[in-house]
Amino acid sequence: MTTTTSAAPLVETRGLTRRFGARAAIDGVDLRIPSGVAFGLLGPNGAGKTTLIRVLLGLIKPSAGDAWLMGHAMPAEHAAALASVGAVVEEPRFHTHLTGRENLAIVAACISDAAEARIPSVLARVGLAERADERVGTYSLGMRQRLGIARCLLNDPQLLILDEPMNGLDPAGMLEVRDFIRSFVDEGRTVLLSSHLLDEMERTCDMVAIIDRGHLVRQGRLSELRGGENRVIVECSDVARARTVLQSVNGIEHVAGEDSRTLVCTLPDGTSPAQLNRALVTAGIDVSRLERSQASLEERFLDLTTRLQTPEEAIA
Amino acid sequence: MSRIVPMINAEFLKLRKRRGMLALAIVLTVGGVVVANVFEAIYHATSPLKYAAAGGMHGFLTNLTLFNITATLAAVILGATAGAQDTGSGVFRSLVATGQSRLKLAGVRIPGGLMLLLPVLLVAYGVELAGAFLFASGTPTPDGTTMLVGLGWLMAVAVLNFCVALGLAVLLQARGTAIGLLIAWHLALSRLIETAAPLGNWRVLVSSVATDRFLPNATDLVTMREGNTITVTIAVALVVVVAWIAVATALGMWRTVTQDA
Repeated sequence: MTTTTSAAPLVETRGLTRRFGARAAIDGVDLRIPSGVAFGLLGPNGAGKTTLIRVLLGLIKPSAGDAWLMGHAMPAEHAAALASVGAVVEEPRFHTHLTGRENLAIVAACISDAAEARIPSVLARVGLAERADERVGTYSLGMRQRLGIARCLLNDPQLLILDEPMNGLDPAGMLEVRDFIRSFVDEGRTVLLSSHLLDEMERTCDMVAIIDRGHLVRQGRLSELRGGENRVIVECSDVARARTVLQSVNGIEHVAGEDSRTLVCTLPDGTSPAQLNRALVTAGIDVSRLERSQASLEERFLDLTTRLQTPEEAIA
Repeated sequence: MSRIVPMINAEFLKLRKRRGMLALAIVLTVGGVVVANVFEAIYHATSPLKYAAAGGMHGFLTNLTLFNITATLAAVILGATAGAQDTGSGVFRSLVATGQSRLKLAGVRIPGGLMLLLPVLLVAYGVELAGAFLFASGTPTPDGTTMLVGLGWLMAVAVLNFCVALGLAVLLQARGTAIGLLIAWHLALSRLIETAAPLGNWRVLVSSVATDRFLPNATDLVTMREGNTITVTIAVALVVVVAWIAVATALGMWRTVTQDA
């Protein structure tokens, strides 16, 4: 999964905040999305992902902060910004009494003659050409998701924003959407997708931002977010003594017991697993397994999002 | 490049494909006129001395009263649908996400809806005129001026009620509620205001009082329901009609521009 990113971000926000009454749905979000990547916006339900997307698209106004889309200030320059952006926000909705083709036609009418001419090709791209003249009311959820993607391809976008695109899809449908996103990125375009499906995000995205309770808690390349290769799993004869020994080794962090025979610790740069092994053996502890390990996105996600919880909420 | 014409066509498409609603509008207007003429013709044929001719000038003017109700109802249903369908279906968000001006999105609903409503009403009006000649039974028939004035009245009723329904539906973001409120307005509240003699000439502000001034047989002296007369000139009636349209349209546009998508 190699991608080239240019310096100028396609999406940038600074201190972006949107309140609904006293509650801040997003609060002081600073986001940078470079071009040419699949960028995942990850967060639990209600974290503020959809609100952030709605503000980015000018569907709702921010309470504070600034946003730029394709280099244009939002919402002031929304027409120029959205000219090369396609978006599906939440579940794709349609006029169910119209056919798939007619639903695309009413959106294309707002865009350009070229968009109207593009209808057959986008229907073919999402595999709906044969069902395009049937009423959307007869479509399955998966077909509606595909029609939603077709709708946001009408303006031949450079940036595609997909909010929870995997919702309601069966495994084959998810695979189709994933392949579509990757092919879109391979064409040098950019995809911003939001989801709470960690596994799908890990498979699809190059970069992610984790958002929780309206705060952007971390963003970066997937490999950076997972914490590199500095985690080591240690399986030994005496976990309690091993923890004491390892905590005395200079620079070792987060010594945590996984179970009665296993410890996980994070090594500082320049410290090798061999040094760790030597310390344990010198202390008379038998080491039966020593393995480098990269944290999964799920682990990092849970780690980052639970940090914001109060102790009472964590218990609840 | 302006997208106004394609956007108007898209609005027309959205309404035209609502076959149930379109059928209802046709049944209400064209069907209503046909039924009224046929029944009156049968009554007249069975008892010519007791029942006047279904057609002729008299029958034409009498039938406009019924036509007023059905045309208003059709305009309200189409207007409310045109105003609420994008928000109700959730498509409004996708339209805004194209970057298109919200003012244009709101504005094209009016011509798009009238493109469907006016032909239906014109057909019904044509049927009414045909009945006026077909069932005249030797009585005087409407002249060209009467027919044109009647057409003007019909346009005023249609455009006003369509725009008010559209604006209200956008404002409330609810088609059913808008239709219910407007039926209540026409059947109860406006009639109550019309009988309120202390309001005097201010009663011209009631939309139906203003549009009735454009009926072919109307004069400046309009008799209210409680029997009093008020003075309603064509100019004043025109100002009232335009004001209703302008206020409803402005409110609908304001809501479209400011609402969260």
